[in-house]
Amino acid sequence: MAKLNEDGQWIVLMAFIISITMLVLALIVNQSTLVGTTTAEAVLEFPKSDIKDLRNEILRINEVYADSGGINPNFFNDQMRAIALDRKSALVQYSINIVNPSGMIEIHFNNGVTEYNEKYY
Amino acid sequence: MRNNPSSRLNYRESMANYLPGRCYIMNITKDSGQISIDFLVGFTIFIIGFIFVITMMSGLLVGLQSKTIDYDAVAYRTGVILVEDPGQVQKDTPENKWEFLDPAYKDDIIRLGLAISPDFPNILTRAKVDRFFDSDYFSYPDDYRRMLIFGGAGTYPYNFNISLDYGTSPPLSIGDSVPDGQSYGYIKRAVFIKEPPGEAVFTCPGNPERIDININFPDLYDTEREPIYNIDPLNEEIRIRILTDPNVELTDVSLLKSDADGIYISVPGLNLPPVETSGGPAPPYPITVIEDPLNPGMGYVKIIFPQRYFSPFSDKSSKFLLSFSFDTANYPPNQYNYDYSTDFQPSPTLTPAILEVCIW
Amino acid sequence: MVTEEGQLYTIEGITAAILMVLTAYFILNSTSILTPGDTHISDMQLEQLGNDALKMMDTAKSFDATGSTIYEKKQSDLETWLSYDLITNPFIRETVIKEFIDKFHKYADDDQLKLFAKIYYSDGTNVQLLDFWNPPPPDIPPFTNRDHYVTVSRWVYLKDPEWDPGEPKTVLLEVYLWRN
Repeated sequence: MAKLNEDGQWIVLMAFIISITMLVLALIVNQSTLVGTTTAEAVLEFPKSDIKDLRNEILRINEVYADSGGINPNFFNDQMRAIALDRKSALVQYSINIVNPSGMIEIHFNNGVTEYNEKYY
Repeated sequence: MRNNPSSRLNYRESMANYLPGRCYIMNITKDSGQISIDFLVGFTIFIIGFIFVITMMSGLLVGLQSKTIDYDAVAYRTGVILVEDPGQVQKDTPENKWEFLDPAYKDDIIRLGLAISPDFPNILTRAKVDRFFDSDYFSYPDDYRRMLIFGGAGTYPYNFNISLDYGTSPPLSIGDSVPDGQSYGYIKRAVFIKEPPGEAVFTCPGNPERIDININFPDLYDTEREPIYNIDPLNEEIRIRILTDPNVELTDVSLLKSDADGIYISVPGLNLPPVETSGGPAPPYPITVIEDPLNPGMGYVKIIFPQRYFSPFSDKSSKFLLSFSFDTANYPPNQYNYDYSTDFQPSPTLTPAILEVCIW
Repeated sequence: MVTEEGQLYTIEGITAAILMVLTAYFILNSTSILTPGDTHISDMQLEQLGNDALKMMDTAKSFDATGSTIYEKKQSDLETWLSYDLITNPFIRETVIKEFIDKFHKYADDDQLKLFAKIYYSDGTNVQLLDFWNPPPPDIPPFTNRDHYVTVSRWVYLKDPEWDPGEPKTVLLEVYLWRN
């Protein structure tokens, strides 16, 4: 024989290909369970309760102001902005229309990942 | 030269070049078309091994659907829809509150939600809670899967168990309990339930000839109280009880509505709900209100306006006068107001509750 | 007739089959399913429950018609408790802490939750911390940094808190939650 007969090597190569395919499939199965974890991370990351809480607080400030007058409700804007920036790493700003009591309230919230803007009448 | 088709034709010619008696090394190629046993055996063993492996591996992927990986996400989403969303019906349905919809229009409900409104999440209404857990209206599991669980196109059949515990035993619940050993997605939410008003009790001694009760909707829909602390006569049950002297005779009960000029006129075609007294049910008048054995010295007259009784013919600015007429005329008529004054009924409160959702 | 040739394809076939079966065996034996009981999902559930309980504590259970202003008519438990003198009066401080924990447990329907709370407020220039929970009353487990905890927070509007009287404030109540 002048050279090695390599006719049958395609069988072993097919076996290799199938083994590698099986490895890839097993990897997919293994990684699939991480999908559940990522969903929970996404839920934790979205500031749903932060935004709802902020909105609730601003409406409460507006309600108390509308009833008893006195202190300008936009006065709390500085307080809330400072606290939110320090503790929640979020930029918070609102403005209440005090000239017209049933006028518009604007709310802005931005925590770097999620941004929320609202105009409330 | 091997695959040369003319090689056979040239056989004689080429064979003429070879001298007899000499040893030549030649390539012998077989064009006969038969596979050698060696190849067959090898290939058969390979194929058998391949089938074996495929059988072992096929079970790995079969149970794998994206819908079964993340039960917790579905449970969380269901919890949010129930607790923070008021629900939605199609646009041209006769009634835009799904909890009062006639069962025939059940398919017009797009989404079920128990919250009182999107501005007040975590506060549920008693009417929605009762209707949601009532198996006479919604069939388990198809209706809930369509309107709440949303398994996706083709509606993957998630199993679920939703329970609401506000102190009753056993708690309200829909669905089978989770089978043992099954992994499931779970979420727990804490909520308030806005209850309908309690029974208003008016004490009217002295046997007047008529007892009038003013029900002013503008007083009840007080804007300070918001939707969560008020009495909602258009959507909630109104219960009124009058305590009278024993043995008076009740001759008539009527409900009049104030028109634009403030004159109270009767509403055409209106049927009053049945009146109950300590002497028996009242539509056959006159009836003697005997002494109530549970409350000596007084008799009672009770009327219950069911949910949505007022809504077909009134709105938030209507005013009503409920009159109870008695036979003997010892004293002139007494007037009372059905409103938030605390001397006749407790103010509406919110009941804390726990909602749990399990998905598997 | 019987020669040494002819095992070529057989050997290749056997090798291939052995290779595949071995690979399948190793894979099936070693695929480990990560239990999704990782902290993320339980954190999400605990955070949602904590936010719900705080929201319930910041909602008045009924409308108090005897109040003189809207603030008093709808004053919630949190607004009442955080307005008391939490710094100089230890008895009030301990009572508030115990009632806070009791109410939280009741609303969340879970007696095993451990809590730790702080108040952040602004004095005009800086953000200040009102550390009213330290030291915790006896038989309340203190907060150590070793426990894995979840943070929930709530804005509370205080009309005139006794620990810094004068003007109304909006403060941030931060609560750390953990289970053993």
